[in-house]
Amino acid sequence: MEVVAIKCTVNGREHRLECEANLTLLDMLRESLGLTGTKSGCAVGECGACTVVMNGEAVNACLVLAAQVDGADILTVEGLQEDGVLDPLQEMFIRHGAVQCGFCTPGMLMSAKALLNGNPDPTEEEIRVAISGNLCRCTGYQQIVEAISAASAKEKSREKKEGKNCGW
Amino acid sequence: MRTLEVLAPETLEEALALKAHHGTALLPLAGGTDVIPGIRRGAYGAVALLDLSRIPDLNRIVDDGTEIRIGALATHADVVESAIVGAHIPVLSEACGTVGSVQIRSRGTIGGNLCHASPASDSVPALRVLGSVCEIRSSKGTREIPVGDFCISPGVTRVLPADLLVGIRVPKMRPGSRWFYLKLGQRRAMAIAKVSVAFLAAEDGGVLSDVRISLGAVAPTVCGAPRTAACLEGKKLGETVISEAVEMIQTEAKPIADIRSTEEYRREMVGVLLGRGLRGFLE
Repeated sequence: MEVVAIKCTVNGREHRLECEANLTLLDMLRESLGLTGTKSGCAVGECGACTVVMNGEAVNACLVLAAQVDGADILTVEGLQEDGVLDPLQEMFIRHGAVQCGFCTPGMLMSAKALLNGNPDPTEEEIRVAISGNLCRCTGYQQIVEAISAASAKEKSREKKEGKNCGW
Repeated sequence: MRTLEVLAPETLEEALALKAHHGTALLPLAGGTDVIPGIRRGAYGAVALLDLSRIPDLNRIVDDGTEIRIGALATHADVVESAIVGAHIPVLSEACGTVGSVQIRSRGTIGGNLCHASPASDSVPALRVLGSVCEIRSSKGTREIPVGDFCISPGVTRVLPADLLVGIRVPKMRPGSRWFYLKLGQRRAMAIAKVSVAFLAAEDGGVLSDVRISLGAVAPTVCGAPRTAACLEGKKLGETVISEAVEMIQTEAKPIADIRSTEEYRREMVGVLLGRGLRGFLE
């Protein structure tokens, strides 16, 4: 099996890896880097459990070859918190009961993160579209939609409190 | 998961030279949304992959005056977000916006979707009514094939072993064109079409001309509905004309039954979608 050299940034940290050419980004994260927060569900891009943010976009890590990750900037669920402080999305998922079995949660969070990065004030419809590639078999989605909505609103009020001109 | 090797050329010339040398033993990889599940299923046997994602400018969308040129590696998200596409060929934005999910649209490419040659493709019916042309390159030169002739059967296209699809040229829609893309799937996200209808026509005082209809998922390839298009040509849209067209498309379409739907349901629904789209113009 051919080995490819990869340099990429994962959660702000630069990594240099030698991967087998058939390795997917999902396997690279879970097996090579030990970042098991990203879940392996269907492995064919149907369920969204493996969603990570790659160069600002939500992608299914199971459909990306590690060889295509060279030079990329990857954010996984482990990178959402900063110095032990949870991301507003994580806080709101907890507060709104958006987590039951928890298997879809990392993927849901990352789809939501990609959405809020590009669109800090999404409508409910935009939230539903953003997570439409993520299956949840427990919650019925309603609490997840509410959590994402609350996180966007919370981000707005926090920015306001801090007096930042955030352009909304 | 099996693959032997991934070749990642930095230039198109290098990619074409590799393709000329290795032919079908080298499977082009763009966004990977079809290729990677295919490899996992063992659909391609022992192939090496030709990763095209490092080649600069292969994903560009450019306004060429009378046409929009879309690089083969433009993702469905690139197409949906492109102001050029939205302004001049909105039926393609609409169709690409119904593909898979956010995650699939951010990786899957327009060229990859064409080369996958699925009869249930969303982009192909739209590209077909727009009269788009595929630009195919080999180390020997460039040739062009209309999108309508590009797919031969599911998974089989006119791309030869030494060829790469590099772009699609799409004539701009005329101002005031009437169009729709309607798709029926199991659910709204992640659903492969059971039936889809793309429609484009010029309209003057309610009278349709240059009527073009493409149908997805009712034949081995995306196909046209020339008899139905002819029946609408030169007509002023009204309930009688629409009912005639709906009846005609239900006899003209020759769907099959498969895992996603039955022949009868598809035949019924192709008429429902055409009727729904045409009635939308009356509002």
